[in-house]
Amino acid sequence: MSALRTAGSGLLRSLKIMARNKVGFLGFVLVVLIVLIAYIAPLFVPLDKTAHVEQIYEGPSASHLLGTDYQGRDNMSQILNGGKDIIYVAALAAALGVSIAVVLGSLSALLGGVVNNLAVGLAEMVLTIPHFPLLIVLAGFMRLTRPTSLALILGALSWAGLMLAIRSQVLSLKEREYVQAARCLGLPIRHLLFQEILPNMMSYVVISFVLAMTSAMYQQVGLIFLGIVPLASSNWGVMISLAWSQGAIFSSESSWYLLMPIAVVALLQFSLVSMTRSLDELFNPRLRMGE
Amino acid sequence: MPEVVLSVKDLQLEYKSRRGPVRALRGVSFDLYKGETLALIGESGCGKSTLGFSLIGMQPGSARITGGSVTLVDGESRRDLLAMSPQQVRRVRWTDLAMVLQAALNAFNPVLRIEEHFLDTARAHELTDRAEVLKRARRLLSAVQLDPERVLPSYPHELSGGMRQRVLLALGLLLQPRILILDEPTTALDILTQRTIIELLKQLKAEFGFTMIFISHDLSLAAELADRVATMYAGRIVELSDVYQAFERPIHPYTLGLTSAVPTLHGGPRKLTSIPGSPPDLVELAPGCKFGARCPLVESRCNATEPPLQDAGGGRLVACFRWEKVAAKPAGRSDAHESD
Amino acid sequence: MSLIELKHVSRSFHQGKNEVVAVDDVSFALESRDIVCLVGESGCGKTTTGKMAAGLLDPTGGQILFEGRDITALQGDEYARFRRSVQIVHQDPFASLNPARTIYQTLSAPLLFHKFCADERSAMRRAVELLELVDLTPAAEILDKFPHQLSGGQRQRVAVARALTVNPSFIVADEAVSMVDVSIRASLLNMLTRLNQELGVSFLFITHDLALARYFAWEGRIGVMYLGQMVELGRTPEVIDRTRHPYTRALLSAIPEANPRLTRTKERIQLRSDEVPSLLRLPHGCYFHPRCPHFEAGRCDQQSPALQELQPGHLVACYRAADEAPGGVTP
Repeated sequence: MSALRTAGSGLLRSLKIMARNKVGFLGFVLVVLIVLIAYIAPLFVPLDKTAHVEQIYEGPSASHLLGTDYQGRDNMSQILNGGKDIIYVAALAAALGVSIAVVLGSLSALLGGVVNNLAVGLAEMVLTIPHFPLLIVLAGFMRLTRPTSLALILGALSWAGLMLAIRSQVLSLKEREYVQAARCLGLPIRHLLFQEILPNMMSYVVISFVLAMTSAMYQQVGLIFLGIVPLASSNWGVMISLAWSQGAIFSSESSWYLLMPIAVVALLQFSLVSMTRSLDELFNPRLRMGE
Repeated sequence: MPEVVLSVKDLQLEYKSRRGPVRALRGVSFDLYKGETLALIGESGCGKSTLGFSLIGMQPGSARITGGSVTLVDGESRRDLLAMSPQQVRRVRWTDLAMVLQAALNAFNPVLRIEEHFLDTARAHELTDRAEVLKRARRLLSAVQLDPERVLPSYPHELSGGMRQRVLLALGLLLQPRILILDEPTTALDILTQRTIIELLKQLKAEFGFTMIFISHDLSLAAELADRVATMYAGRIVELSDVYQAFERPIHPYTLGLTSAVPTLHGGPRKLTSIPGSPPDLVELAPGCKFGARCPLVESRCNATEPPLQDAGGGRLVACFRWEKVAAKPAGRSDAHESD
Repeated sequence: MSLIELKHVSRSFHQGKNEVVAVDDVSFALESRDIVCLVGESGCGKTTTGKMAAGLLDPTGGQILFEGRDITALQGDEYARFRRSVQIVHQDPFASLNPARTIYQTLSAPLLFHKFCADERSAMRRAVELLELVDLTPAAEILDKFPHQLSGGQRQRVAVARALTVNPSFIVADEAVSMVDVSIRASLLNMLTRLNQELGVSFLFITHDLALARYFAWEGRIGVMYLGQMVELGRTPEVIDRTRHPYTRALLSAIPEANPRLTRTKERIQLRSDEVPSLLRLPHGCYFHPRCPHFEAGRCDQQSPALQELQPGHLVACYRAADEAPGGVTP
């Protein structure tokens, strides 16, 4: 019970710190809302799959708040159902990419020598490969319909730049006096890394995670849009792609179908990017000094 | 009666902060006499640098002057700096009052050569005769023992710390100010370089006859250079004394504490004493004497009202109810209060 | 057998294509309960020497002995014991503690890792003891604070307490009180002196402030460094009051003192030049000769004078001082 209460007060305190930056907090609230809706709404609003020829490309009305698509299906239900996969893939890809970057970056900085040479070499190789063409080629060999496999590939290609950045951060942090003191005390490498160094770059890592999510999202939507990833399920990317291929840009009636998914993608991106400001307040010990 | 060149009365200044206003200056008053050297001493956060910057109207943006006056006196003319427009202040700066900053690299514009710094400063005061300015700059650079031909075409980063401090001094003197304010003029310099700058300051003062205020946390510098010493604590002057008296018979317990905390190169092993506790929080100030919590002589009235800066005779000012008790202590140093 | 001994230790760094010798053939030893202060101006190599003595930097020449054994030869448990016996306290109170960790976390990590304490409860007790040892009271209130909630002086005390967690026999204090306010500095110094006297911890105290060095090393020794070399080393009263090296003399005469009568009547030594030679273009012979008021052409600019024992325990690297030596005359 008391553990619950401390957790609760900790959460409240974190929220207060985040609320110090208004724009950042707005972003945070929007992200939470969008994610909740994307995962909960499908339980209540089923995806509208049946064609209704009599109501193609309708504008907003009481029964179809966001209008209808080229088959007369409800846009609202597609928007509500179409976020889950996009968010899942973005988060998984970002988590994978950031984890690889943190592990390789800090190890190569702390251990130096061969580990460093190998890791930096690998990173530079990944950086030189053009990603989009590679993805197109990969799509020819692999079935990218499953969101998880798409996420793994996106993640495996996105870590290199961040890894080099983290490596240089660790290189500078490890010369800090408190890290030297910890070395002097004979504390092991894992202590240096997880207790002394990483906590002081958490804000950078967390923000990198959020930014990696946004870029994974764009890549994903882009791949779907270009038709490289098969249009198996329904999501915002598929909506944009279909709207495009069904000629939605040519008629003003169909604009709702095209604009809605673009709007939610943009809104989510905006919220994520603004949220980073609050995350900085929360994780940056330098900023927290103002408490 | 010596001639007054600058008169500060009840100067108050606040910084904005998340927790509320930080009362950095809480009623600073003093008169600066023509030709003297006044040292402002005290620990970090006591308000000495804030005071220096606010005298030339260069307090940071988050600061607001909430009261008092800073009057420039020149014969019959009296001008209140705080009542001036920013433009007027800019004109007064450098010509009446100039400030020499700490010789950090960021006191210079890194992309401008040293000669541009001189020309720009002069231009801001409608001195556009390039040859005339450079002539003056050469003379001043020679006065600070630098080779003008080498220094003028250099960029700031090409000079050593001691050279940069000398350039700043020369720059400060360019428009022949009547009052020169120096902020930690030798901090961060090595011992031998520091000595050169100290000797230089003495010479320049003799040659150009300006009045000097210098701000330093280094008591020995004050002992070496100052005529009078103003001890600051928690945004106020708590003691203003002749330099010999300040060091040999301080009358404020804080000045006594400071002078007892500094080791010297002479004399037997003497136990240094420090002042217990730490300076007060300038956001939430308790009533009474702000030094009370750290003072060995504190009594109940000290906690009730803040002692005003009063005349202690012999031209000395002190803000302490019990200063006579401090003064009665046999010569400061050996008998400092044992504490901590 | 000394606790720590530096034998002809040198350290060079690569700077672009050039090699810079930061420390050049420095030798001295510390016994248990000993105090040595290294003084000198920036770039004299005192900090690099301190880092090497603390085992944080490997020398590029010479040897460092811990209880008589070369530290590079130590392995396993022996190395671990050396690592714990030698600690360092840095200068900057704002950088010496991890901003993201509470004081308790900072102190408990070495206590628990090295099994000085079996569990959190005893680590907590020990942490309180250590904080009280460095005069941080009430200790229990300090434990849960973050460094930014403490003053500079308090942080330096925590840094000392952290060093004490592993019961060291030797602490390198690199300008450990320089950035602390004057009013608090004395109590920090007195606390370190107490650790030296009561716990028998030896100190290598690095400072640019000779008066401070004299105070702290009252019963110890002072070593004066110039451009990477030790130029004078001896018991404190010898070095300060019977100074032999012209550089030390110049430093002593240049320092302003917190006594107006004294500081204004002090005799000043004029150097021949104010310019400090760059480590990249060191002069021939004695490194101080271009500035030295006693410079003798043909001798001082030819070969570097060796550090010799001119009086028992008083070592000086100067030809002229050696000439005057036998009688012990001080000019």
